Amino acid sequence: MKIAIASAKGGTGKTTIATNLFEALRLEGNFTVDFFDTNVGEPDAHLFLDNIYTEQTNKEVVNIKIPLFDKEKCTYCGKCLHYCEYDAIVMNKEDRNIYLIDNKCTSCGACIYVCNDNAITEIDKEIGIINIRENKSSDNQGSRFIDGYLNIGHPFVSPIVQSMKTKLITGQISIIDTAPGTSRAVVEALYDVDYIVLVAESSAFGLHDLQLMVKMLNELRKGFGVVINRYHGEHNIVQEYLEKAQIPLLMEIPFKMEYARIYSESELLVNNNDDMRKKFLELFEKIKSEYMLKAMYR
Amino acid sequence: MKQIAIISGKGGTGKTSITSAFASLAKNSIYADCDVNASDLHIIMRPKVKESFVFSFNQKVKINQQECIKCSICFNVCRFNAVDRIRNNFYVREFSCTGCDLCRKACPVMAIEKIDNKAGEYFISDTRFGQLVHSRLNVGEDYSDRLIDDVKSYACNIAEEKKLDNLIIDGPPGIGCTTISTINGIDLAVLITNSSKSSLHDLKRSLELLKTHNIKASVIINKSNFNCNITKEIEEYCLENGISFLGKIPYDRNFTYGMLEQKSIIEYAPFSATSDIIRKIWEKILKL
Repeated sequence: MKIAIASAKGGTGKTTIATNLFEALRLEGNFTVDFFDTNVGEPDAHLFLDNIYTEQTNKEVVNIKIPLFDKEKCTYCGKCLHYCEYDAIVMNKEDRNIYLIDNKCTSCGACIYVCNDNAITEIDKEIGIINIRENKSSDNQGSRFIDGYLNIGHPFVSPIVQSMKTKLITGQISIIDTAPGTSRAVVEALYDVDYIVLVAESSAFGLHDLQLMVKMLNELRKGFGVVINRYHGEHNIVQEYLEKAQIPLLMEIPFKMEYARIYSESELLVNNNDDMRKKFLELFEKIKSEYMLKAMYR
Repeated sequence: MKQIAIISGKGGTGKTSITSAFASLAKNSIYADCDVNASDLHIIMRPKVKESFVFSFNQKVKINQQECIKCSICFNVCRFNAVDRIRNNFYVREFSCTGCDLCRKACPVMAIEKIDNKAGEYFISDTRFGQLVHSRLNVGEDYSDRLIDDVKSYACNIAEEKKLDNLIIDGPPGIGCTTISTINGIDLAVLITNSSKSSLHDLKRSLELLKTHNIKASVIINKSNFNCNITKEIEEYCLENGISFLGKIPYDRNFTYGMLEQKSIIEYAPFSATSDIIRKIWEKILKL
């Protein structure tokens, strides 16, 4: 079962929910659980889970293919220029010069497809890395921690998320932490998961962004439920909305200075609070039953 | 004209809350909401839309099933896994399509057509603080950096036309394409961070990005009282690396209460200690 944790707004507690749910399940010991941190721009989950995993990492470089122009073979016909939808190719016919603006190239392959003169070859450009780490202790063997890092300065994150997702093992529980927003990189992380846990903050900004996400998931036809984080116990606009829209509320976490402190030290709630551990296991049960329900009606 | 962008590595550090507070203090300024994926600034600024523009960047495609000869060329050329094969029929997965248009150009029977893709809209609006350029992006759209470019250049033009002092930009989280577009050509980046280890981790990555773009960086710690040790660590880090440290804002519920009334903290609690801190920070920013 692939469970993704998402939200349009940043800082609602995606990583908190993801890492704690993961650890609660892992400590139960009945399952092999994998963790994926697909927020490759700013990956944080490792700060919370570092001590569980070996320092030794299996590094994989993520490359995209970018065109290399052979200035001798090129006839400067301009077809590639015409095919490139991103204006990434600059050509000057008189000077017989053609080059690529690296950061605009999305590696779609249109230029090499159209070139009749064999003047374009493709070379690898490194855009980031994926780290794969194994579980340290002997119990819960096979549990892996996988995160990706975008090279600073490179604009496109989707290819890294894509190649991280090839590491998913079917039939195993995987927790997938995502980047904030509703961009294509987030869709890439979400489109083939089984269930999505949205994390919302009970504030006006939180509600607005939750609605954005709900709209997107409805279009993607995904099953999802909501965790309200930092709930203050007063008039709760997010809860009201969920009732009206008939979206399952999976869990509520009250705002507590204690929790904020535990988080700020990059520690896990489930390791500091037995009650929380129970709550996160309940969350998993809820996710499971919601997912089954959805599957029954499909 | 000075371009100031409020950004952060980690999300939810308080960019929009602090931007709206600055808006209450700034004079002769224009504002741009560049967090196009989850824009919230309009909730507080309550804009009255004066003009709107359609933003369509890359057009998406659709396969005409009657004309398709199932040759699978489109399936093979697409590098974004956006062409789906279901029982030998081919469909375009709209959310994965980046609009590179290669499948349409490669199709031997021209069975693929462009569909009008209105990726979003952007607006120029009046608010009680001045003019605001903001946008609404359809969900699942990528290359939102182009929309940011549009929003920013539009705001810049107005600022120059009207000889305004500041362009204040509410930025996106992260270090990807949206942030790169936002910081392109700005004079000062104000990084909002929190007092947590993960915020510091993200802050370092953001600072590195700003360094590669040669942009002056300054730092505010929001919710600074969650963990005083880390707050201190961040302060020291800024000092050691020659980054202007603007101030610390403790956790304050007035931000959220104000939000419900669509007010910035300066409007909601003008005499609170937090508002005083923000006023001092704003004065510092003007001097930078």
